[in-house]
Amino acid sequence: MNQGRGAPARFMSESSVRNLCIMPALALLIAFNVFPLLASLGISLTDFNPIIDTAPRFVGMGNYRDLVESPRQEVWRSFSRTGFLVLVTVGLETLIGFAVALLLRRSFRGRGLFTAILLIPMMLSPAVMGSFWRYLFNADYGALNWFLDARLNWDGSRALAFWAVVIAEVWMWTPFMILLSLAGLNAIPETLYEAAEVDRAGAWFRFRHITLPLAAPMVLLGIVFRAMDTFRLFDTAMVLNGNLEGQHTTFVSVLLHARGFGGSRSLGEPTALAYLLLIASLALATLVLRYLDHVRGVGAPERGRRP
Amino acid sequence: MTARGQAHGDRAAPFRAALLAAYALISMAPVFYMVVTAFKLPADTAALPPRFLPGLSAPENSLWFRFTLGNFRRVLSDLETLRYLFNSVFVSVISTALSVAIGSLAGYGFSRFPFRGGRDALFFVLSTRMLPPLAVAVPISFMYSRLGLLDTRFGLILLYTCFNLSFTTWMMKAFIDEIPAAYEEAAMLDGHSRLEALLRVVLPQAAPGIAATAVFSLISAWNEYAFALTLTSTDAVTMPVRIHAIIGDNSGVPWGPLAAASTLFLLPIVFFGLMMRKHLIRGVTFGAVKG
Repeated sequence: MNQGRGAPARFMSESSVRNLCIMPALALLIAFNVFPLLASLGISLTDFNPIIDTAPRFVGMGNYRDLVESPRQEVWRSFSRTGFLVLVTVGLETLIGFAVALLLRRSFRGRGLFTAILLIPMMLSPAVMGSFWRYLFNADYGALNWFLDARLNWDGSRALAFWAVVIAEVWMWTPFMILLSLAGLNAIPETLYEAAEVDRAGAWFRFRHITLPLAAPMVLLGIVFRAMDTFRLFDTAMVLNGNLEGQHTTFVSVLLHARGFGGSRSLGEPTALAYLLLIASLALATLVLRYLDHVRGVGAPERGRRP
Repeated sequence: MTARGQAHGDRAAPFRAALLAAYALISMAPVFYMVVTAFKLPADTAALPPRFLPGLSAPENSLWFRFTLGNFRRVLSDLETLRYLFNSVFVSVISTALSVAIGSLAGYGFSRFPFRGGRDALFFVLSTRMLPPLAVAVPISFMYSRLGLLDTRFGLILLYTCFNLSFTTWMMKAFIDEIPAAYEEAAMLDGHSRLEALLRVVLPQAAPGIAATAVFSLISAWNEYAFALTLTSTDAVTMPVRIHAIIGDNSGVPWGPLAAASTLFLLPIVFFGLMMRKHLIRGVTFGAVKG
């Protein structure tokens, strides 16, 4: 708070230096987020159609009503499908990630490089890897069916297509949970284990009462991040199964793409759907941010303050 | 490592190593198979059992395939693919440089000049990172078509700069928070201007943080798909969009060339990620904790 005190007079005040620093960032973020979102809020209340050159008509909440009451309830279904995907995918990522992190905990030669190699899936493009997964999932000559010794039809309208997305996502993002679990495990003070050793506590007791509770905040942090990202999942589902409606992989973002970029329809309904997704995402984001504040408050009260 | 590690490590060590090896094997198998497929002839890509051993001939029902460089030759002589590869490199490198520069500046501002409403401004910055791309893609594509930015590299650069900006601002603020302000104050008392203090004192100290931030931004810009898909059509198409477009309707997909193009596209980023692994690992954990 007190920096600049005693400094000689400069040709710029503190506040103008600050503005010079943060204004470019804020201006860009406003131009590319706030402005389009306000515009689309307006559009979502009309029957605006960019192809047909007639003046847009104000329809109030009509688009939202249509979405919620849509005959086959595709919208609700896409939301519940997405919720189920989050549950399954993030659950698996957490279980596998935490288990691998436990295995990686003890030091061994080349651990750094080994961990980095495990991170490779995370560095890859979901769209490109998803395209290649289609080859692996191919019903006739796919390596996965051969490996499972089955003739499963992973693509198209089959329920298995959902699980194909789960496999590709879990494969790609488990490394993220490994990293966060490792960070949580590494932060546990060794002295706790030594004390447990003195008390002759068993392995299960140590795991249940030291490892798990102390690593939990970081793992939970990973879970909320993954949940948020999976909730808006688009790339993997789109490349694996396209943007048709009514499929087992028609998640909210996919439905949005199908309706928003699907030809000559009015933009009113898709922007309304975008708002529903936005509201759900912001609700999740608020949870995340609350939780972040909580973790910081517990774990590192000094963080974020100037030294 | 520690007494605990030694006391219990030995008996279970081979078991742990086996489990880790199994995980690594499964996790690397798709990538390995993709690289291998890039060297296959069309006949071998559709053969069962899947062939993954490169050889000079491919006997029936074996795991050997006939090694060929034809797919790479085909991809590298395809001017369109090369142009899309160039688009990917150009857009992701420039947008990363821009978003790291603008984000560092903003991070510095937020870190050193706390002000009323600063927390709200930071919250706003962070919340933009949580927007689903598809929710803003519809209005942005409409906005871009009005501004003539649809299907331009410049348009993509602007957008990528912006979507990485919230991340770079937060990361850089957190990194700069950990550099004592006393250093630059001392430099300024010595008669240096703030800009000089920033360049000579803060910047070198923040270098590891900048590296971690840049690795992350580059990877996300390199791999971005949703915006590229919705905002480009011919000129500014990037590789992720291109590669998926090759598949088309799934019948008679040229898996060999597709794998070759994917390999060419993915190798640089994997190489880069492994080179910068310390920064990457630090960036993931730090980024999650700090926002």
